[in-house]
Amino acid sequence: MSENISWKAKLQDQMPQDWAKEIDEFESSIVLNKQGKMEPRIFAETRLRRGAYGQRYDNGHRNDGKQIRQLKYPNQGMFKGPDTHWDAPGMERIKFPWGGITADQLEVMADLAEEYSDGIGHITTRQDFQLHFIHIEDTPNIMRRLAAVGITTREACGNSVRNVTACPLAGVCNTQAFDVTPHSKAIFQFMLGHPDAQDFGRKFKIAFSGCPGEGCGLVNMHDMGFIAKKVMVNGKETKCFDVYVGGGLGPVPYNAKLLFENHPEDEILPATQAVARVYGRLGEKKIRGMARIKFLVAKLGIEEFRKLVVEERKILPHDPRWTTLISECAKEQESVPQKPSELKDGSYPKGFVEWAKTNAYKQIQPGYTTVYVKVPLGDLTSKQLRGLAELSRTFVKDTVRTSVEQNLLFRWVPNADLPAFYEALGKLGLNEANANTISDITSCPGTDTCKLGISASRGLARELSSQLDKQMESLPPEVKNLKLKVSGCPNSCGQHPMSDLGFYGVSRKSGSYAVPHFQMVIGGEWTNNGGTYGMAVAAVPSKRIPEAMKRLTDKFVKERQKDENFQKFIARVGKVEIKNVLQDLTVLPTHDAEPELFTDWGDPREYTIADIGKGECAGEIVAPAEFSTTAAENKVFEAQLKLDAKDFKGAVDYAYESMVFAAEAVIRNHHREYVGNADTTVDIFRKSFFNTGVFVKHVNNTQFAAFLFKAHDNKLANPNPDEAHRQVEEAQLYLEAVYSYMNNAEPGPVPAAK
Amino acid sequence: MDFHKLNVKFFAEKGSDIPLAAFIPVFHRWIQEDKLEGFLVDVTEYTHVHHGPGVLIIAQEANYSVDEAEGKRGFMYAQKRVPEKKAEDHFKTAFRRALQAASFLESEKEFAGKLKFATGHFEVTINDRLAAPAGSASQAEIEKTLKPFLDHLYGAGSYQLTGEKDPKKLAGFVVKVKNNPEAKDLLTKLK
Repeated sequence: MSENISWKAKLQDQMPQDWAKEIDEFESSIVLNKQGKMEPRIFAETRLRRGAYGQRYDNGHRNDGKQIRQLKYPNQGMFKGPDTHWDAPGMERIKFPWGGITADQLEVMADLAEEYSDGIGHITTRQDFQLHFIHIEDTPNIMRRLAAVGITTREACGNSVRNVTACPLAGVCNTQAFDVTPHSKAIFQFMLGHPDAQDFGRKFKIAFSGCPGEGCGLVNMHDMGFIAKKVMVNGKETKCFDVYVGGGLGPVPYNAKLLFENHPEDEILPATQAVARVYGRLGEKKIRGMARIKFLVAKLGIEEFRKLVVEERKILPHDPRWTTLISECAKEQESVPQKPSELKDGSYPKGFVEWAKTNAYKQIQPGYTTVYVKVPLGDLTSKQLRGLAELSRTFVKDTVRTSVEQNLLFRWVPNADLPAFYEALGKLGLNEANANTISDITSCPGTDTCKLGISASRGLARELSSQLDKQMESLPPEVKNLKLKVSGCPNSCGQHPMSDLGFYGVSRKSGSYAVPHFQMVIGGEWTNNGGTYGMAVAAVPSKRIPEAMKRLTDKFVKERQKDENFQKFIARVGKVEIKNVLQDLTVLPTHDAEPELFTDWGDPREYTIADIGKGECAGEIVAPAEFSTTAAENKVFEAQLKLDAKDFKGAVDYAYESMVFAAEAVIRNHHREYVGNADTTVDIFRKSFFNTGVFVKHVNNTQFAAFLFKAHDNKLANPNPDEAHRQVEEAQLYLEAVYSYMNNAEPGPVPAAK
Repeated sequence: MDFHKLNVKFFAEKGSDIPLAAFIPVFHRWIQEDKLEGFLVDVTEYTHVHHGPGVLIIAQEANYSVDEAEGKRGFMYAQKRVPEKKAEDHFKTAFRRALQAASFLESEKEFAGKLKFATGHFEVTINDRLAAPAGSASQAEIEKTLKPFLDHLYGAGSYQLTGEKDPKKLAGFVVKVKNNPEAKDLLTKLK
């Protein structure tokens, strides 16, 4: 019997000593916080850097569908962060660098999900795992059990270098220049806890891709990214990378810029260190919403940024790990587990042939297949995790990886084993076909557990996936292969900007009722490392999204020209026509006429994003403001059309006008007769709503107001395509923030200027 | 042994074909009505997961769920942080809460006559591999506390225990009682 034995004592010899010490220190910070000897703000950053995140309702209130309920957590007055209750369920994020996960690690994940969470291990869109509904006091033991199998949660959240992701096909891919696994592994080890990466204003995400053409690595959306290539140097084929910097999704997606071309592999670690130093030194620290490196690169320009990085590189003290780490990691490469073989002719298990068409990837090595295990919404039960561990040992010997599309890849399955592997997956309920098709939908947690969620992204993804799976046999190939991605808010954790059809959660009002919506984002590109971001075309009520999607895909099938893909089709047809197709779906009925529309997918509660109750006065007050938001909507749409027409000056002008109308809506929300020019409107907004904190309080982000000020204070006379694209995105985001403000703000006069 | 992380799952006799999604609005309603013991926080659902945890009410002290693990539907109470002092009190609390909630669910208007949980067929496990690692020692320790409790609740000799043998699963027992007593009678004994 193990009475009185702790996990700490039990695992002492199995954890790396430095990791064990760090976890002990974290446990001490929990004690200090409980004793009131540590500020909640400081404890919050401490726990975030260990992957312990907040979760929805941790601020102590929840809409139960009828009223906003105060949640009386047991230790009232104890907090694990500003406005974050101690006993509130939280989330633990667990890093799996380059997505690699061993059988032992899968089994520990199974145990942790069962013992501390709700029985589910969730794969994220950055190759991590997450456990939800965790109590903060359980986190040190969770960390110890992970450390005992070689996993650290250090810097899984917080203003740090996050999980280093890589193409999960690295090493077995048909289009790769070479295997980037050792490089991603080396950078993860090098940057973990690196002193030059401890003073960032925001998080920093790194990705590796083995080729420029596919989407598995998504370098374009990363703070820093590496695309492998081989070049001839002195007559010898040499490994190198194109190094990118300053990409990012978030509310306004930025395309990464080429920092170094053909950069030697033994220079990628010092280059990363130099970039970290420049970012740490010059990056924004005060305004969170403007602190990602993408803003710094855009502000300085890539040439100036490059110059600073080159200068920094010159003065870096030499570190032998720059070269040794990569070669050491290369030596640790996975061994080929089984002998290659060919699939025998004969009768296969039911469903096998269809499954193999979508879920089996022929490796560059003859005789082997990488199998995509389609994991609905990235959720695996403890039993499935244990079963997958067994399959890993039996078939592929620890060569499993997670993907940013929330699936698992089993690499090195000998072809002859495929039917048996398929059947073994079936016993776990995981042999579903259609991986990488339109029904394999990526989604962030959204309103299920995320504090920032506006709409039920998982609910929508589940509904669409279920409907599409039923239609799959009848769908034409050009539709079957579309990518669908859903985010619960504009922050893009579901990676919607890089999908053919993307959705992000927003809300609108009908009378005094809020209605869950998704903004439809079309024409994004998954390939070319997420090469092109889509643009918002219309906000449609959540419950009407399946119909909206059907209309667009039907139109695509009916009207596409020969070999035209979805992006080209959208570009040819134009957004006006697309918007017209959806127009009637955006018209909101009254609550009594269609009450179902006022709830979200998988959630029967009356929808709200705030504590606003039903009230006629609010409806009346809002009316003139709605006039302004309508004008803002029109202007931003015009801006998009200008962008499509490559009239970049026209685009930024319309985007700016949209923002001014949106600011006017904020003022009219409190002073319905308000009329003023742009200067006056921005001035009132700045002094009465921004400086006073009133606007930020209701939208929880300083970034959106900053978009307006930037556009007003620095009018772009001759914008380049990137600047124009960005300002249009910013106008859209600012407008969403204004909607959010108007949904939340209490009626009353314009606040006193400050 | 520390029994505070105790799971009790009463298997469904009837109603395994009811779509899981049907339980979601009921659980939300229960939060509105403060229907259950404990501090209820939220509802979460895994209707898309094969043989998963189904639909859950996340409470501060425990999770209540219509659980589908192993393909066997049941009503589960998974205790997380109830500060009972004596080991047998953990069983008492967990059984009372599980039986009470399962009875409420059976009598909801949506499920009247369609849903029935067997009061005499259930699983008891300790969800803590440190306190109760799989193996015969843990099984013996659990049995030592569980049996007197079950003798009181169902009557000595009226049930059969089958211990968990899989070393990767939680230590515990499946219990089969000779008959299915009325939930209200059991709840009276658990007051």
